[in-house]
Amino acid sequence: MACKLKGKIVKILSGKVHAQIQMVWKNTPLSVIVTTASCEEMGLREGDSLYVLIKGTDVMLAKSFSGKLSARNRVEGVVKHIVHGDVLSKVSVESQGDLLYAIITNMSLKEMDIKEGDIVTAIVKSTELILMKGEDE
Amino acid sequence: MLSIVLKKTWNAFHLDVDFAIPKGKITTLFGPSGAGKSSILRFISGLERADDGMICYDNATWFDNERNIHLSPQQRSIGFVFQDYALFPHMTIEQNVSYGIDEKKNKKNEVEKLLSLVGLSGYENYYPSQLSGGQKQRVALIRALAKKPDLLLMDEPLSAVDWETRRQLQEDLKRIIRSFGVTTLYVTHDVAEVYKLADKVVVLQSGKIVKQGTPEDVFLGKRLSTRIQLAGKVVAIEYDSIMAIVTVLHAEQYFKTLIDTDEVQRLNLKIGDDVVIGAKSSDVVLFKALSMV
Repeated sequence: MACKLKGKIVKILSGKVHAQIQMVWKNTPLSVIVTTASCEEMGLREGDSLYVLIKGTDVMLAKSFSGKLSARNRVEGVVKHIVHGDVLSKVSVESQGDLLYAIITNMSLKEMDIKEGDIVTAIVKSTELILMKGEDE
Repeated sequence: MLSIVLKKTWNAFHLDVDFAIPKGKITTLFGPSGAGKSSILRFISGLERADDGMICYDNATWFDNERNIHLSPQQRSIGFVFQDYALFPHMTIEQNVSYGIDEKKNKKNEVEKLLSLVGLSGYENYYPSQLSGGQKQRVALIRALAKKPDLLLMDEPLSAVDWETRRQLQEDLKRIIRSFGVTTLYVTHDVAEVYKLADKVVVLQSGKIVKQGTPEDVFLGKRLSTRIQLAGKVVAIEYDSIMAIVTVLHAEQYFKTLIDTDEVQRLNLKIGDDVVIGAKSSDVVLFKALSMV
Protein backbone atom coordinates (compact mmCIF):
# COMPACT_ATOMS: atom_id res chain seq x y z
CA MET A 1 0.00 0.00 0.00
CA ALA A 2 2.89 2.37 0.58
CA CYS A 3 6.52 2.40 1.57
CA LYS A 4 7.13 1.42 5.18
CA LEU A 5 9.77 2.72 7.50
CA LYS A 6 10.22 1.07 10.86
CA GLY A 7 10.79 3.60 13.59
CA LYS A 8 10.53 4.12 17.33
CA ILE A 9 8.31 6.56 19.20
CA VAL A 10 10.39 9.03 21.19
CA LYS A 11 7.67 11.42 22.32
CA ILE A 12 3.90 11.80 22.18
CA LEU A 13 2.38 15.27 22.39
CA SER A 14 -1.31 14.74 23.10
CA GLY A 15 -3.93 17.38 22.41
CA LYS A 16 -7.69 17.29 22.71
CA VAL A 17 -8.29 15.94 19.21
CA HIS A 18 -4.86 15.23 17.77
CA ALA A 19 -1.63 13.73 18.95
CA GLN A 20 1.77 14.40 17.47
CA ILE A 21 3.86 11.27 17.48
CA GLN A 22 7.55 12.07 17.30
CA MET A 23 9.59 9.17 16.02
CA VAL A 24 13.07 8.26 14.98
CA TRP A 25 13.69 6.13 11.92
CA LYS A 26 17.35 5.15 11.94
CA ASN A 27 18.91 8.60 12.44
CA THR A 28 16.09 10.64 11.00
CA PRO A 29 13.31 12.24 13.07
CA LEU A 30 9.78 11.73 11.78
CA SER A 31 6.58 13.39 12.89
CA VAL A 32 3.14 11.86 12.51
CA ILE A 33 -0.21 13.40 13.39
CA VAL A 34 -2.95 10.98 14.41
CA THR A 35 -6.19 11.53 16.27
CA THR A 36 -6.00 11.06 20.03
CA ALA A 37 -8.68 8.38 19.56
CA SER A 38 -6.34 6.41 17.25
CA CYS A 39 -3.46 6.98 19.66
CA GLU A 40 -5.50 5.52 22.53
CA GLU A 41 -7.02 2.66 20.53
CA MET A 42 -3.61 1.61 19.23
CA GLY A 43 -2.19 1.94 22.74
CA LEU A 44 0.76 4.00 21.50
CA ARG A 45 3.52 4.52 24.07
CA GLU A 46 6.92 6.12 24.01
CA GLY A 47 9.48 3.47 23.13
CA ASP A 48 7.10 1.48 20.88
CA SER A 49 8.46 0.31 17.53
CA LEU A 50 6.07 0.58 14.62
CA TYR A 51 5.82 1.26 10.92
CA VAL A 52 5.28 4.61 9.30
CA LEU A 53 3.43 4.24 5.99
CA ILE A 54 4.09 6.82 3.30
CA LYS A 55 2.08 6.92 0.09
CA GLY A 56 4.14 7.86 -2.93
CA THR A 57 1.52 10.38 -4.03
CA ASP A 58 2.02 12.27 -0.75
CA VAL A 59 5.76 12.67 -1.20
CA MET A 60 7.28 15.88 -2.59
CA LEU A 61 10.84 16.01 -3.86
CA ALA A 62 13.22 18.92 -3.47
CA LYS A 63 16.67 19.37 -4.95
CA SER A 64 19.32 21.54 -3.30
CA PHE A 65 16.79 22.10 -0.55
CA SER A 66 17.28 25.08 1.73
CA GLY A 67 15.15 27.62 3.56
CA LYS A 68 12.23 27.11 5.91
CA LEU A 69 9.31 24.81 5.29
CA SER A 70 6.43 23.83 7.52
CA ALA A 71 6.51 20.14 6.50
CA ARG A 72 8.11 18.22 9.38
CA ASN A 73 9.36 15.17 7.52
CA ARG A 74 12.42 15.61 5.32
CA VAL A 75 14.50 12.66 4.24
CA GLU A 76 17.61 13.08 2.15
CA GLY A 77 18.47 10.28 -0.26
CA VAL A 78 19.82 9.27 -3.65
CA VAL A 79 17.62 8.72 -6.71
CA LYS A 80 18.03 5.04 -7.57
CA HIS A 81 15.47 4.55 -10.31
CA ILE A 82 12.88 6.45 -12.31
CA VAL A 83 9.86 4.91 -14.05
CA HIS A 84 8.33 7.29 -16.56
CA GLY A 85 4.57 7.25 -17.04
CA ASP A 86 2.54 9.29 -19.48
CA VAL A 87 1.77 12.08 -16.98
CA LEU A 88 3.35 10.92 -13.72
CA SER A 89 6.67 9.32 -12.88
CA LYS A 90 7.73 7.15 -9.99
CA VAL A 91 11.03 8.15 -8.45
CA SER A 92 12.71 5.67 -6.07
CA VAL A 93 14.87 7.31 -3.45
CA GLU A 94 17.28 5.33 -1.29
CA SER A 95 17.94 6.62 2.17
CA GLN A 96 19.68 4.80 5.03
CA GLY A 97 19.15 1.47 3.33
CA ASP A 98 15.39 1.90 2.78
CA LEU A 99 13.54 2.86 -0.37
CA LEU A 100 10.98 5.64 -0.57
CA TYR A 101 8.86 6.38 -3.60
CA ALA A 102 7.65 9.70 -4.87
CA ILE A 103 4.99 9.99 -7.53
CA ILE A 104 5.55 13.34 -9.20
CA THR A 105 4.49 14.92 -12.49
CA ASN A 106 6.66 14.51 -15.54
CA MET A 107 6.65 18.29 -15.73
CA SER A 108 8.32 18.59 -12.29
CA LEU A 109 10.72 15.79 -13.13
CA LYS A 110 11.80 17.66 -16.25
CA GLU A 111 11.90 21.13 -14.68
CA MET A 112 13.98 19.86 -11.75
CA ASP A 113 16.10 17.73 -14.08
CA ILE A 114 15.94 14.78 -11.69
CA LYS A 115 18.22 11.92 -12.76
CA GLU A 116 19.41 8.69 -11.23
CA GLY A 117 22.25 9.39 -8.79
CA ASP A 118 20.94 12.84 -7.84
CA ILE A 119 20.68 13.74 -4.17
CA VAL A 120 17.14 14.82 -3.33
CA THR A 121 15.06 15.50 -0.24
CA ALA A 122 11.76 13.68 0.13
CA ILE A 123 9.27 15.85 2.02
CA VAL A 124 5.99 14.79 3.61
CA LYS A 125 3.62 16.63 5.94
CA SER A 126 2.97 15.00 9.33
CA THR A 127 -0.74 14.78 8.60
CA GLU A 128 -0.11 12.52 5.58
CA LEU A 129 1.66 9.73 7.40
CA ILE A 130 -0.07 6.61 8.70
CA LEU A 131 1.10 4.47 11.59
CA MET A 132 0.86 0.68 11.55
CA LYS A 133 1.63 -1.68 14.39
CA GLY A 134 2.91 -5.20 14.33
CA GLU A 135 2.71 -7.68 11.46
CA ASP A 136 3.93 -6.72 8.04
CA GLU A 137 0.70 -6.70 6.07
CA MET B 1 -24.82 -16.80 26.05
CA LEU B 2 -23.85 -20.02 24.35
CA SER B 3 -20.55 -21.39 25.63
CA ILE B 4 -18.77 -24.03 23.63
CA VAL B 5 -15.83 -26.21 24.60
CA LEU B 6 -15.15 -29.02 22.13
CA LYS B 7 -12.46 -31.59 21.46
CA LYS B 8 -12.56 -34.10 18.66
CA THR B 9 -9.94 -36.11 16.82
CA TRP B 10 -10.33 -37.61 13.35
CA ASN B 11 -7.15 -39.42 12.30
CA ALA B 12 -4.57 -36.60 12.09
CA PHE B 13 -7.03 -33.72 12.49
CA HIS B 14 -7.62 -32.33 15.97
CA LEU B 15 -10.42 -29.95 16.75
CA ASP B 16 -9.90 -28.08 20.03
CA VAL B 17 -12.00 -24.97 20.59
CA ASP B 18 -13.30 -22.91 23.51
CA PHE B 19 -15.43 -19.86 22.75
CA ALA B 20 -18.67 -18.10 23.57
CA ILE B 21 -21.47 -16.64 21.45
CA PRO B 22 -23.10 -13.54 22.98
CA LYS B 23 -26.87 -13.68 23.34
CA GLY B 24 -28.88 -11.87 20.68
CA LYS B 25 -25.79 -11.09 18.60
CA ILE B 26 -24.44 -12.36 15.29
CA THR B 27 -21.17 -14.25 15.65
CA THR B 28 -19.35 -15.39 12.54
CA LEU B 29 -17.17 -18.45 12.45
CA PHE B 30 -14.56 -17.58 9.87
CA GLY B 31 -11.84 -19.70 8.31
CA PRO B 32 -10.71 -21.61 5.24
CA SER B 33 -12.27 -24.86 4.02
CA GLY B 34 -11.31 -27.77 6.22
CA ALA B 35 -10.72 -25.62 9.32
CA GLY B 36 -13.52 -27.41 11.21
CA LYS B 37 -16.29 -24.78 10.94
CA SER B 38 -19.09 -27.07 9.78
CA SER B 39 -18.04 -29.77 12.27
CA ILE B 40 -18.54 -27.28 15.09
CA LEU B 41 -22.08 -26.58 13.81
CA ARG B 42 -22.83 -30.33 13.77
CA PHE B 43 -21.64 -30.67 17.38
CA ILE B 44 -23.65 -27.65 18.52
CA SER B 45 -26.76 -28.94 16.77
CA GLY B 46 -26.38 -32.39 18.30
CA LEU B 47 -26.08 -34.16 14.96
CA GLU B 48 -22.66 -35.41 16.05
CA ARG B 49 -20.95 -35.89 19.38
CA ALA B 50 -17.52 -34.56 20.26
CA ASP B 51 -14.93 -36.67 22.11
CA ASP B 52 -14.94 -34.24 25.00
CA GLY B 53 -16.24 -30.84 26.06
CA MET B 54 -19.36 -28.98 27.04
CA ILE B 55 -22.04 -26.90 25.30
CA CYS B 56 -24.28 -24.74 27.48
CA TYR B 57 -26.97 -22.26 26.50
CA ASP B 58 -27.51 -19.99 29.51
CA ASN B 59 -28.25 -22.46 32.31
CA ALA B 60 -29.18 -25.36 30.05
CA THR B 61 -26.55 -28.00 29.31
CA TRP B 62 -26.87 -29.40 25.79
CA PHE B 63 -23.70 -31.46 25.94
CA ASP B 64 -21.38 -32.48 28.75
CA ASN B 65 -19.20 -35.43 28.01
CA GLU B 66 -18.16 -36.00 31.62
CA ARG B 67 -21.76 -36.09 32.83
CA ASN B 68 -22.80 -38.03 29.73
CA ILE B 69 -25.33 -35.38 28.71
CA HIS B 70 -26.01 -35.22 24.97
CA LEU B 71 -29.38 -33.74 24.05
CA SER B 72 -30.84 -34.74 20.71
CA PRO B 73 -31.17 -32.05 17.98
CA GLN B 74 -34.92 -31.86 18.74
CA GLN B 75 -34.23 -31.11 22.41
CA ARG B 76 -32.01 -28.16 21.53
CA SER B 77 -33.84 -25.03 20.44
CA ILE B 78 -32.01 -24.48 17.16
CA GLY B 79 -32.91 -23.18 13.71
CA PHE B 80 -30.76 -24.15 10.73
CA VAL B 81 -30.08 -22.46 7.44
CA PHE B 82 -27.92 -24.32 4.97
CA GLN B 83 -26.14 -23.32 1.79
CA ASP B 84 -28.45 -25.54 -0.32
CA TYR B 85 -31.65 -24.13 1.29
CA ALA B 86 -32.93 -27.62 2.30
CA LEU B 87 -36.53 -26.70 1.43
CA PHE B 88 -39.01 -29.52 0.89
CA PRO B 89 -39.40 -29.58 -2.92
CA HIS B 90 -42.86 -31.21 -2.89
CA MET B 91 -44.31 -28.62 -0.51
CA THR B 92 -45.50 -25.11 -1.35
CA ILE B 93 -43.78 -22.12 0.21
CA GLU B 94 -46.64 -21.83 2.71
CA GLN B 95 -46.27 -25.49 3.69
CA ASN B 96 -42.49 -25.15 3.96
CA VAL B 97 -42.76 -22.16 6.31
CA SER B 98 -45.70 -23.69 8.26
CA TYR B 99 -43.54 -26.69 8.99
CA GLY B 100 -41.57 -24.68 11.54
CA ILE B 101 -44.55 -23.02 13.24
CA ASP B 102 -45.99 -24.12 16.53
CA GLU B 103 -49.24 -26.14 16.10
CA LYS B 104 -51.11 -23.91 18.54
CA LYS B 105 -50.62 -20.79 16.47
CA ASN B 106 -52.68 -19.53 13.55
CA LYS B 107 -50.30 -20.87 10.94
CA LYS B 108 -51.77 -19.00 8.00
CA ASN B 109 -51.42 -15.62 9.73
CA GLU B 110 -47.90 -16.42 10.88
CA VAL B 111 -46.84 -17.48 7.37
CA GLU B 112 -48.27 -14.28 5.90
CA LYS B 113 -46.45 -12.19 8.47
CA LEU B 114 -43.15 -13.97 7.89
CA LEU B 115 -43.38 -13.87 4.10
CA SER B 116 -44.11 -10.16 4.15
CA LEU B 117 -41.04 -9.67 6.34
CA VAL B 118 -38.85 -11.00 3.53
CA GLY B 119 -40.79 -9.41 0.66
CA LEU B 120 -42.39 -12.65 -0.51
CA SER B 121 -46.07 -11.90 0.11
CA GLY B 122 -48.16 -13.64 -2.56
CA TYR B 123 -45.70 -16.52 -3.01
CA GLU B 124 -47.62 -18.85 -0.65
CA ASN B 125 -48.63 -21.31 -3.38
CA TYR B 126 -45.34 -21.36 -5.27
CA TYR B 127 -43.02 -24.36 -5.08
CA PRO B 128 -39.30 -23.96 -4.25
CA SER B 129 -38.35 -24.80 -7.86
CA GLN B 130 -40.23 -21.68 -9.01
CA LEU B 131 -38.13 -19.35 -6.83
CA SER B 132 -34.70 -17.83 -7.41
CA GLY B 133 -31.77 -18.77 -5.17
CA GLY B 134 -32.14 -15.57 -3.17
CA GLN B 135 -35.88 -16.12 -2.65
CA LYS B 136 -35.30 -19.74 -1.57
CA GLN B 137 -32.77 -18.58 1.00
CA ARG B 138 -35.21 -16.01 2.37
CA VAL B 139 -37.79 -18.77 2.76
CA ALA B 140 -35.22 -21.02 4.45
CA LEU B 141 -34.41 -18.22 6.89
CA ILE B 142 -37.99 -17.51 7.94
CA ARG B 143 -38.72 -21.23 8.19
CA ALA B 144 -35.78 -21.53 10.60
CA LEU B 145 -36.92 -18.49 12.57
CA ALA B 146 -40.62 -19.44 12.60
CA LYS B 147 -40.26 -21.68 15.61
CA LYS B 148 -38.44 -18.89 17.50
CA PRO B 149 -35.28 -20.86 18.28
CA ASP B 150 -32.80 -19.86 20.97
CA LEU B 151 -30.00 -20.29 18.47
CA LEU B 152 -29.79 -19.85 14.71
CA LEU B 153 -27.03 -21.74 12.89
CA MET B 154 -26.19 -20.65 9.36
CA ASP B 155 -23.70 -22.67 7.33
CA GLU B 156 -22.39 -20.51 4.46
CA PRO B 157 -25.98 -19.67 3.51
CA LEU B 158 -25.09 -17.28 0.70
CA SER B 159 -22.32 -19.14 -1.08
CA ALA B 160 -24.72 -20.62 -3.67
CA VAL B 161 -26.18 -17.30 -4.81
CA ASP B 162 -24.69 -14.82 -7.26
CA TRP B 163 -22.72 -11.87 -6.05
CA GLU B 164 -25.36 -9.14 -6.46
CA THR B 165 -28.03 -11.27 -4.75
CA ARG B 166 -25.55 -12.03 -2.02
CA ARG B 167 -25.04 -8.37 -1.21
CA GLN B 168 -28.78 -7.74 -1.05
CA LEU B 169 -29.37 -10.86 1.04
CA GLN B 170 -26.68 -9.85 3.53
CA GLU B 171 -28.64 -6.67 4.21
CA ASP B 172 -31.90 -8.61 4.52
CA LEU B 173 -30.41 -11.28 6.78
CA LYS B 174 -28.97 -8.72 9.14
CA ARG B 175 -32.25 -6.82 9.35
CA ILE B 176 -34.35 -9.94 9.89
CA ILE B 177 -31.99 -11.60 12.38
CA ARG B 178 -31.80 -8.35 14.36
CA SER B 179 -35.57 -7.97 14.39
CA PHE B 180 -35.90 -11.46 15.89
CA GLY B 181 -33.01 -10.82 18.30
CA VAL B 182 -31.92 -14.41 17.90
CA THR B 183 -28.45 -15.55 18.92
CA THR B 184 -26.77 -16.48 15.65
CA LEU B 185 -23.68 -18.41 14.63
CA TYR B 186 -22.89 -17.77 10.98
CA VAL B 187 -20.22 -19.72 9.12
CA THR B 188 -18.45 -17.91 6.29
CA HIS B 189 -15.09 -17.54 4.59
CA ASP B 190 -15.89 -14.08 3.19
CA VAL B 191 -14.23 -11.18 5.05
CA ALA B 192 -16.64 -8.60 3.62
CA GLU B 193 -19.54 -10.70 4.89
CA VAL B 194 -17.99 -10.78 8.36
CA TYR B 195 -17.69 -6.99 8.37
CA LYS B 196 -21.23 -6.58 7.13
CA LEU B 197 -22.95 -8.97 9.51
CA ALA B 198 -20.92 -9.77 12.56
CA ASP B 199 -20.85 -8.36 16.05
CA LYS B 200 -18.12 -10.86 16.82
CA VAL B 201 -15.87 -13.05 14.68
CA VAL B 202 -14.12 -16.24 15.70
CA VAL B 203 -11.27 -17.18 13.38
CA LEU B 204 -10.62 -20.88 13.01
CA GLN B 205 -7.54 -22.46 11.46
CA SER B 206 -6.80 -26.19 11.37
CA GLY B 207 -9.23 -26.90 14.20
CA LYS B 208 -7.96 -24.15 16.52
CA ILE B 209 -9.19 -20.65 17.30
CA VAL B 210 -6.47 -18.22 16.29
CA LYS B 211 -8.28 -14.93 16.97
CA GLN B 212 -11.62 -13.65 18.18
CA GLY B 213 -13.21 -10.25 18.74
CA THR B 214 -14.95 -7.58 16.73
CA PRO B 215 -14.21 -7.70 12.97
CA GLU B 216 -12.22 -4.45 13.29
CA ASP B 217 -10.07 -5.84 16.09
CA VAL B 218 -9.54 -9.19 14.47
CA PHE B 219 -8.71 -8.12 10.93
CA LEU B 220 -6.88 -4.90 11.63
CA GLY B 221 -6.20 -5.44 15.32
CA LYS B 222 -6.20 -1.69 15.90
CA ARG B 223 -2.97 -1.73 13.98
CA LEU B 224 -3.65 1.23 11.71
CA SER B 225 -3.94 4.85 12.75
CA THR B 226 -6.43 5.64 9.95
CA ARG B 227 -9.88 6.54 11.29
CA ILE B 228 -11.53 5.42 8.08
CA GLN B 229 -11.36 1.67 7.53
CA LEU B 230 -13.82 0.14 5.12
CA ALA B 231 -13.97 -3.54 4.22
CA GLY B 232 -14.94 -4.27 0.68
CA LYS B 233 -14.36 -6.28 -2.43
CA VAL B 234 -12.17 -5.42 -5.39
CA VAL B 235 -14.45 -5.06 -8.42
CA ALA B 236 -12.09 -3.52 -10.98
CA ILE B 237 -8.41 -2.84 -11.51
CA GLU B 238 -7.40 -0.41 -14.27
CA TYR B 239 -3.73 -0.03 -15.02
CA ASP B 240 -2.02 3.19 -15.96
CA SER B 241 1.71 3.24 -16.69
CA ILE B 242 2.80 3.49 -13.05
CA MET B 243 -0.42 3.66 -11.04
CA ALA B 244 -3.49 1.45 -10.93
CA ILE B 245 -7.01 2.50 -10.06
CA VAL B 246 -8.48 -0.18 -7.83
CA THR B 247 -12.26 0.07 -7.45
CA VAL B 248 -13.59 -1.33 -4.19
CA LEU B 249 -17.25 -1.96 -3.46
CA HIS B 250 -18.26 -1.24 0.12
CA ALA B 251 -21.90 -1.15 1.28
CA GLU B 252 -23.35 -0.42 -2.18
CA GLN B 253 -20.78 2.34 -2.79
CA TYR B 254 -17.82 2.24 -5.14
CA PHE B 255 -14.53 3.66 -3.90
CA LYS B 256 -11.68 4.30 -6.31
CA THR B 257 -8.20 4.08 -4.84
CA LEU B 258 -4.93 4.93 -6.51
CA ILE B 259 -2.25 2.31 -5.94
CA ASP B 260 1.24 1.81 -7.27
CA THR B 261 1.14 -0.93 -9.96
CA ASP B 262 4.12 -2.65 -8.28
CA GLU B 263 2.04 -2.79 -5.10
CA VAL B 264 -0.88 -4.39 -6.94
CA GLN B 265 1.49 -7.08 -8.17
CA ARG B 266 3.19 -7.55 -4.81
CA LEU B 267 -0.16 -8.04 -3.09
CA ASN B 268 -1.32 -10.23 -6.01
CA LEU B 269 -4.50 -8.15 -5.95
CA LYS B 270 -7.33 -9.60 -8.03
CA ILE B 271 -10.96 -8.85 -8.73
CA GLY B 272 -13.05 -10.46 -5.99
CA ASP B 273 -10.37 -10.08 -3.29
CA ASP B 274 -11.49 -8.86 0.12
CA VAL B 275 -9.64 -5.71 1.10
CA VAL B 276 -9.75 -2.94 3.66
CA ILE B 277 -9.53 0.70 2.58
CA GLY B 278 -7.66 2.83 5.08
CA ALA B 279 -7.76 6.62 4.86
CA LYS B 280 -6.81 9.43 7.19
CA SER B 281 -9.71 11.55 8.38
CA SER B 282 -7.69 14.63 7.44
CA ASP B 283 -7.70 13.55 3.78
CA VAL B 284 -11.47 13.69 3.44
CA VAL B 285 -13.42 16.56 1.91
CA LEU B 286 -16.94 17.09 3.21
CA PHE B 287 -19.81 18.88 1.46
CA LYS B 288 -23.31 19.43 2.68
CA ALA B 289 -25.48 17.29 0.44
CA LEU B 290 -27.66 20.19 -0.71
CA SER B 291 -24.72 22.34 -1.72
CA MET B 292 -23.84 19.68 -4.30
CA VAL B 293 -27.17 20.14 -6.14
